[in-house]
Amino acid sequence: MPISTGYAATLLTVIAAYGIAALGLNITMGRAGQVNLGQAAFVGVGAMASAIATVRYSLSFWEAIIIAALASFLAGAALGVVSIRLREDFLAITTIGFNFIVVYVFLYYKFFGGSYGIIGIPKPTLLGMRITGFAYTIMSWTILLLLAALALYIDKTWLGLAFEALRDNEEVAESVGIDVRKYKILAFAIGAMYGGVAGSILAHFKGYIVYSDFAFPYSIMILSMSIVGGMDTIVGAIVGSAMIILLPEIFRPLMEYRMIMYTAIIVLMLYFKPEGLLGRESKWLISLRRILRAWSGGIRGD
Amino acid sequence: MINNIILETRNITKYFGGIRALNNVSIKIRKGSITGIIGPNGAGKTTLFRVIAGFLKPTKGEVLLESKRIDGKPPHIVASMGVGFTFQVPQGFPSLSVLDNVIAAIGWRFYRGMGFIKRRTKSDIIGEAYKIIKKVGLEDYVERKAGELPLGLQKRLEIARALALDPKILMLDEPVAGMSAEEAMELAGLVRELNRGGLTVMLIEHNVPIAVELSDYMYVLHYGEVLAEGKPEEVTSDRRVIEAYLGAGYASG
Repeated sequence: MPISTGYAATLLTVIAAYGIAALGLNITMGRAGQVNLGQAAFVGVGAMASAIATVRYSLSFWEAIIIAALASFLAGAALGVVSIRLREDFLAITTIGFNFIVVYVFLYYKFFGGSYGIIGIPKPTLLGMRITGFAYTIMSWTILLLLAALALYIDKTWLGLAFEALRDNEEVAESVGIDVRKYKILAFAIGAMYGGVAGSILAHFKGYIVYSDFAFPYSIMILSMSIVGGMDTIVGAIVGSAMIILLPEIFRPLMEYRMIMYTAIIVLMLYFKPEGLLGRESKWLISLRRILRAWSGGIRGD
Repeated sequence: MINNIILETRNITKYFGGIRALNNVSIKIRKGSITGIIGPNGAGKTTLFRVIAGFLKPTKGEVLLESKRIDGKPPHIVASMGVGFTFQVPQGFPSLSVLDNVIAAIGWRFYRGMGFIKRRTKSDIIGEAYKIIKKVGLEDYVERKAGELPLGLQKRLEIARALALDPKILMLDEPVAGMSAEEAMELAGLVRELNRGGLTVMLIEHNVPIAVELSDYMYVLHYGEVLAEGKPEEVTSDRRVIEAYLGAGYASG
């Protein structure tokens, strides 16, 4: 089957965007241990913020994507604040509820385009040139790499350690001076911000968004990306996104049964390989590291 | 004698619903001492501990650290003010290495405000962590995950984490519970060594012989009240204490 460049560009852009959303989920859930089954809501908040900023207020894409990041950061912080005392199952249910509320707000308020959605979302321009097709793909991947670098940096900071401490044991985290509430809110806010940037990229790529693009099933899709790749990893989010986007493309009949596929993948992965394909202890990752090491060793000549 | 009280509780009373767990408990912990708090099961030892640590708010009364009130402050503030504590059942951060467990506690200076955006992987931080790990004798387990350590070593890690806070006082909640006699003696040795280095220790213990051996001063809690206090030999020969532990029949004999 010949692959047209347009088709490839579309797939790669969508992979990058959802890779960013999954990366955010890996920070909130994988690092900080805060269950979030409503990541699509933050993708929606970012997409809406970006669409409204450009279509209604004629701001540039570059301004809009910053606004999208801020809006979703704040939405994430808000979810963090309301769910401060919740853990595990109750937290999961609250985040699902949050997803539904956001979607219904988009549907019932004209400001967000209601059931018609928002059309005519412009493509970004850079130095007077419109960024479309493969250029847009390259832009998306550049943003993905920047945000992956940020995630790597967070891992090396006190913030990253506070997140892991929080995930392992909240009471012990408190006992070493970690303000659990503050870091829970930050975990949601930062993860949500990633979702918002993903939303902005998707909105300007498609040029049209509607409330149903951010419904709960998309949260499950993002979750399955995280789980397939490994919640604990950064590369995992990108690999997971690629696999979950490509599988139904390769096996067209799967398209109709996508929700079943996501669910099956989540269940099977959690049962057989809870750390994900590229999780810290996974054999895939270890052999990948070995290959990379051999490679870089070869280059350096040692 | 005026200024050498590091930690003090004044008339701490704590109700859980209608049940009174603590009643007017006043204790004083002198700088440089090892102060033991003993008492039979259900005497309120752990409740007192959790009140001091900030996990519980007292219904009435005050907790003072170097004459500053800390009652009602959340645990992370109490910890960063210099109260290091260990948990009765060692928990720690099981998925993190021994090193990261200790580094997480060294970070208390950075978790406030925006300090969290700083890198933690600096050589001076790691050096500091190694020093603490060595002090508690875990240097052979630096890279091991905390959750994989045997109980005895997990208890040491608990102490290492508390030490990383650079505490003014170290509160140990039943540090030898569940340990073999040999391990318990080793841990007691560690506590004494830390105390000789100038650290004030508050020891909550169910195991009376260990508490007697280590403590300079003791309080006995019974039914949520201070039943007796004094030097260990005074306390253990006190009639009321023997009755509380063994029942009324033994005291006369």
